[in-house]
Amino acid sequence: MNSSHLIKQPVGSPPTELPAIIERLLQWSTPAELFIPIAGDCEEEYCARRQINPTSAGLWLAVQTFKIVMRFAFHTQRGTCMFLFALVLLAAAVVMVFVLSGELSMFFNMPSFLLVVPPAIAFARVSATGEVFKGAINALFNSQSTFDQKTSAQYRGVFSAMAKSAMILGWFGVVTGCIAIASNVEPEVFSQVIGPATAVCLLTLLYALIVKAFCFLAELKIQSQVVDY
Amino acid sequence: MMDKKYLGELEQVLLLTILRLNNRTYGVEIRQAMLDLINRDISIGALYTTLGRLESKGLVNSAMGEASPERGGRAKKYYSVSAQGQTALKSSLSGISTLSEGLSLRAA
Repeated sequence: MNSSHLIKQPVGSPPTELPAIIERLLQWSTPAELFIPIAGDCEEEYCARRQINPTSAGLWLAVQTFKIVMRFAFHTQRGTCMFLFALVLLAAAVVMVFVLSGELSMFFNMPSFLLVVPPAIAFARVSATGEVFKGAINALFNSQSTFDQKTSAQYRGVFSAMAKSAMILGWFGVVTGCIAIASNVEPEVFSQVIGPATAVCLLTLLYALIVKAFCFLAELKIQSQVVDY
Repeated sequence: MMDKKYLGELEQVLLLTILRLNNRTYGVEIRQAMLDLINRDISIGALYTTLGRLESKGLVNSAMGEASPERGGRAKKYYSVSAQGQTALKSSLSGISTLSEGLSLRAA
């Protein structure tokens, strides 16, 4: 069972003048009970200001929205903020290890990336219904939605499938790379090519581990939003 | 014995503004009145955070009002200062008045 904080406008109400992105940001960041008064105040003042100067009204709205998001999001979206912080830490740690290990460019290989990441996402997508997949992605960026154990298991299943697919593809890349090396290397150039070729074939496993780390964080985030009804 | 409620400067200003607006008003009117009367432009986020704090202390009451077209069909949230809020405000202003009595403060 999902209990989203999103409050729909009453049927038959006038269309909102707020840009969709502003509306979504306000809905995302404000507490459920304050969304209607705050969005209403923003719209009322924005419309009044727009009649005098549309440009400054747009600027005013952007500044107010930024201030509202900064004021409320750390409370209402604490889980999302921590998740993003963890992702930044993960990225920083990975980049630091890359830099300390040598040249940064040796860790980037487009075919290896394409072999692991897009198929892992595709496998995760086909492992669940469209609604569950969308819900799982939304759950990562909205801490105000809560769900029961069953829904949580479905959402975590999406990231579990992504992690497992990535690892399978990563090992697949390694094994395929090793076979290719073994089949093509000539005895006279063995010592020159075995090192670089092995390094490239291991990159798929490296990308798979990064995807797995991301999925681990995603599963922790989803688990933190479980409420037993 | 009832706990004494201490008020911050913005809380005092907000309570006074609500009282000046016939003790039943909403966000846009409060912001406008503060700008007109004391030339203070408070952000919408700060306004609702402070109002929420005052409400949790029991110093203001709130009620959802009517939806209006200029708000995209969204309802206003009306705030009024409670009896407890008026007592706290009176006590706070009296304390400031006592402390400032006889002082000659330099103008900026």
